[in-house]
Amino acid sequence: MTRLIRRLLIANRGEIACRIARTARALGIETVGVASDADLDAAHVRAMDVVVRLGGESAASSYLRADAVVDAALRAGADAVHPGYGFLSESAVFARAVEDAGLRWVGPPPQAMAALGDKASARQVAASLGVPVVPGFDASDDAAALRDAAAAIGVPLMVKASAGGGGRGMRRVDDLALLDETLASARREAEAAFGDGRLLLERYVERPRHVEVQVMADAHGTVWTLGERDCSVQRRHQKIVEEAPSPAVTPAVRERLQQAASVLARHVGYRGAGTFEFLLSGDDVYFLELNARLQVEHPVTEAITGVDLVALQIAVAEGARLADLGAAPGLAGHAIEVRVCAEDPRRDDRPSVGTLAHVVWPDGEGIRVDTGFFSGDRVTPHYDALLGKIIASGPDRRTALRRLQAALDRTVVLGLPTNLPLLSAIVRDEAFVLGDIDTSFLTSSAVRETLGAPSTRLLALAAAWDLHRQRDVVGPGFGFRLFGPATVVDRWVGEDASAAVVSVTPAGDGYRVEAGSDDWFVAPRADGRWEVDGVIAPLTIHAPDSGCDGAFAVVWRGEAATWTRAHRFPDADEVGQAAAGCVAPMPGVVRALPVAVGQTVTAGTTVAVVEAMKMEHAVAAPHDGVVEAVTCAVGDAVTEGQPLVVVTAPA
Amino acid sequence: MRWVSRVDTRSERFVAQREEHLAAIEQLHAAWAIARGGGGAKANARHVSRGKLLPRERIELLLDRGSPFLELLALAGGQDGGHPGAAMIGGIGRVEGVEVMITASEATVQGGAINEAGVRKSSRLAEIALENRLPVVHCIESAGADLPNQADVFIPGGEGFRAITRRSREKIPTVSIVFGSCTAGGAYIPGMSDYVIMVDQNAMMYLAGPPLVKMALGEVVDDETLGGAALHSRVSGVSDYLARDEQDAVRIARGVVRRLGWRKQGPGPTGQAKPPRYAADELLGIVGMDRKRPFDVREVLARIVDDSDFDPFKPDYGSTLVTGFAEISGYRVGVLGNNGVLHAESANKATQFLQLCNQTDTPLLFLPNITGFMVGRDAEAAGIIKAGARMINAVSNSTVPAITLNIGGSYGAGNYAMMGRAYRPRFLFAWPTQRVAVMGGEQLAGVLDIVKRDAAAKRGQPVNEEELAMLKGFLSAKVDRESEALYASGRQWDDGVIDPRDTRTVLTLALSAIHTAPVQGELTWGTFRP
Repeated sequence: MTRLIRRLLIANRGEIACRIARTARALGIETVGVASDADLDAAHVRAMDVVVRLGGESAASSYLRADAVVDAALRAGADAVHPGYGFLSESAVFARAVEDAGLRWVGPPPQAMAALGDKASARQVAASLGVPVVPGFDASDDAAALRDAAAAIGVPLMVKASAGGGGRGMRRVDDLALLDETLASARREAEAAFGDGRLLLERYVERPRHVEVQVMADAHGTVWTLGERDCSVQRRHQKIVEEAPSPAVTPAVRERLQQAASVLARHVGYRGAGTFEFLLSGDDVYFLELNARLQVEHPVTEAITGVDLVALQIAVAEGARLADLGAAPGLAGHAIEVRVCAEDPRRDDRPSVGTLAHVVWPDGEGIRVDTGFFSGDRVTPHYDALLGKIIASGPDRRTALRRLQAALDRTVVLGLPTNLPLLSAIVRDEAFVLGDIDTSFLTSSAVRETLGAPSTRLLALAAAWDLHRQRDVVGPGFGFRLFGPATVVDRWVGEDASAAVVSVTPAGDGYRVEAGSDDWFVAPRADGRWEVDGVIAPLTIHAPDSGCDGAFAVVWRGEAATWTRAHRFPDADEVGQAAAGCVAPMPGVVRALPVAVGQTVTAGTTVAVVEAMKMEHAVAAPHDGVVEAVTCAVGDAVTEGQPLVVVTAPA
Repeated sequence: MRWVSRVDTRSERFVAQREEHLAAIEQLHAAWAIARGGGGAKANARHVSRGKLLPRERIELLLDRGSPFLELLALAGGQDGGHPGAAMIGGIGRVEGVEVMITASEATVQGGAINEAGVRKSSRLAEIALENRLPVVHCIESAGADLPNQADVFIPGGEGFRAITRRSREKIPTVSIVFGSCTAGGAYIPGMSDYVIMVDQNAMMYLAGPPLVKMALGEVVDDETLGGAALHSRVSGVSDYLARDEQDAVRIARGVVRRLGWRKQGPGPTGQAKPPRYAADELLGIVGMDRKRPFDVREVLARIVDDSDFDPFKPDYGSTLVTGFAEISGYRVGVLGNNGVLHAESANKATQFLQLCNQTDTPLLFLPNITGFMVGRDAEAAGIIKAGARMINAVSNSTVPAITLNIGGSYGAGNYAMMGRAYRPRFLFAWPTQRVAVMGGEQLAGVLDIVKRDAAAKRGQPVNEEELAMLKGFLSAKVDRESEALYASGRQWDDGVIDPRDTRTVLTLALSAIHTAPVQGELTWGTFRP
């Protein structure tokens, strides 16, 4: 019995909310969005026909509030709910609440989610069906049991949040002595992210690749397997580059993978879109877990199958038969996706927060962009750092890869640090280009080292541009001195914290720029482009208001860099702050303060834990000493640089 | 009317004059280099090693990014081997968009002590600030008066304090940043100022330093306790702002200027400010160093005024004086330039033109290149004295702002009639080609020759030819030396010698400064002898 969905509440934000809305609108379905107070001006809010405010700012006080989301759907008159990924997407409780409220759930049946959504039960089910799994220990919050199991499994092993995905709460343990600390931290993160602190342990598989099979199943017994995706490029167990098909999967392995996924899906009566994740080590495959939802990386599957997974999800939720929609799609071509995130690859991938001053997403043949962020949008510390995805596809991997490389060169995100430099480096890395990598790629390869120092040529452009914009403000006599034009000298700091003293002197229509032993002639052209030593190209630059200090983001000839002009004048408020030492590394919320006033600490001791963008960051004592004061409390929202703990040097 | 140039830039004369001119500019740069070097590398290094900024660095920090700095009297006191600049830097620049007069003591020159040239320079800078309504920022680090030469500085030096408070009464604020110690008289410069900023640890102000206090009272006290920045900012209230360091002090000063809410009261530029149609570089070949070679002042104007567009007034009457209207960077000006000696007609034309400019509030630009008024029987009979007197009357009583730019000779009464220094133009600049004297050395020698021979004849004695030749040679050389551009500028007969290629920029900046105050002419004069 097919009942058409007319008004769909999309219980998410960011790029996925926009992406679901796009298909919904194309299908003639009215869209209802939800928004936290921090997101009232967000792109996903603009993308919806109707938006219901959830209040709150943190995920827990907004998008994770199942009751509020159901209430929103009812208030807006929606007849179905699409959860997207993350947030409530894998909460069987939420799915039931949606159905209990008389609304259609665009997702798997709650009981299937319950059966496989939990990693521990998924392992048990798989093992019972003869699908191989990694040796491990099932979900527990009993620390003693976990300790014993860890000893039995041996190191290296993985600690994972039983309830979650997305790498949250996931830790690698190489030394059992550190197990307790790791368990505590993983549990805190799991509790914060999923409200469930249970953890599981697993043998760590050497040189594994992460592959996953996309499944689409209807309520009438049809299960489509839509090929695999390879998500081996990960950092902190979060995927940042995904492709389909996997360059490491042979037809025989693919057959086994699809078979395993199909068996599991049928066994639990799966319905809708789901992803069965496996580790691939050589030709061995181990089932990891089921992600009972649409995944971030679904577009690469769409690219090689030609289906719209969201449209299929909606059709299945409406009761449609997949068989009526046509034959199971075949696989053709190749697609690669990169995740553009607001995080700084030169500073330990720390999340960046702020306003996106200027954003240019690429387009062109074989390029798709899914994003929820545009120029002027704000990135807040409350949610994950994904700004958007660039998906390149083509008849073969080589074409897809080359298109992706070019698309990344055309992508501009100014205003805050992003991982674009890292993504550009990855898609040019020799091992990646050859497809010869495993999940340790980002930590073991030298790809990060190639990020290098930001280009001083771009610094020269920034400095010249900065002075040039004063030319019209000043008018006649710009930079005039009796004995020749004045040289403006400033100190600049690069995104890798390198510093340079730059002097800029007007010279004819342009500027002579000097930094150290380098010098350039930089000049604006009448057509708006800029010349550096005879080479003319368009310049994209974003800078603070004239006369203000701050970061200058520069893009010229495919190179991008951010340089910050140091303050000419000291800021009176800065006094004394540098001495404090133990400061918040970024805006976030204090999650733990494991030290007390009077306690003796050694350099490196964790004195505070700050959570930002759902990642925990330990703040360490800068030197041996005594805790003199704790200037924050657990739960406090803190700003970057805010002192948390004062450690005095021992007398 | 757009001027069509007749200058042949390939002519031998043009090329030769350009070469001479460039050599003179080289000399100018050499003098500037000495001025910019302050007390020399060693003294500067010592200053910097104390964590202090050099005075020019302080100015650069104070100025807006890309701001011009029209340095004035840069070579003051530099004649006869003195240090050019007189231990002080002064000029007009923009701070938070406000054109201000900035002065900075050069602590590394003569220990920052003020000599006679320094007193005259600071008085002139104060005058410029007052007349043009420019707020003043003093960057002070001065040892005070040059005591061995107190006789030269003590009495005129009092004017400096008076000038600050007179400006204050005229609602023109003065901000003093005290970077170093200011003793006795030196303490009154900040003391009289409307705003005082002191740099912690470095700035000191007291009427008498520790040695004198010990001598007078037997009190033993250190600098900081006696007159430190903290004392004056927290206890005495002599200082308004306690700055953490020099950068902080400059930051505070910029903040003070921003909050002045300064508003320019002149009409500002009104034209389109099109650049001239001819290159400024050609000025160097048009005007050479030899004052006997004439040039057409209109060729000079064509390389200064907007679009080379100049409307002559009475072009066919008294044509040895060119008068007319033009714009410079959009600022309206009435121009008076010499194309020969002043006749009665030329002087009469000038008198009328000055009245017209005052009637329409049009600022004046004088371009003197003048040997003087016409002499001889015909001239006297035509009443040249009367005509000259009327012109000097008009020049003296004209109230529209005037700028004088000495581009050639400025001799005798011609200097006076063409708004010489004594007639107080708002600004007076010069090219390296300027010659200023009562007459040329050769002429002076000629006069001397006649006088000596007459005297000898009266006494019935023969002339001592050898002695006369020596005397003539000596006098001629002395006059020529003392009329040269750099000497004249050292004596502060002008506000600065400039590179002729910068003329348009300098005039624009001067006009912009002028337009900070109201631009108003009046039609009130002394009696004209008809």
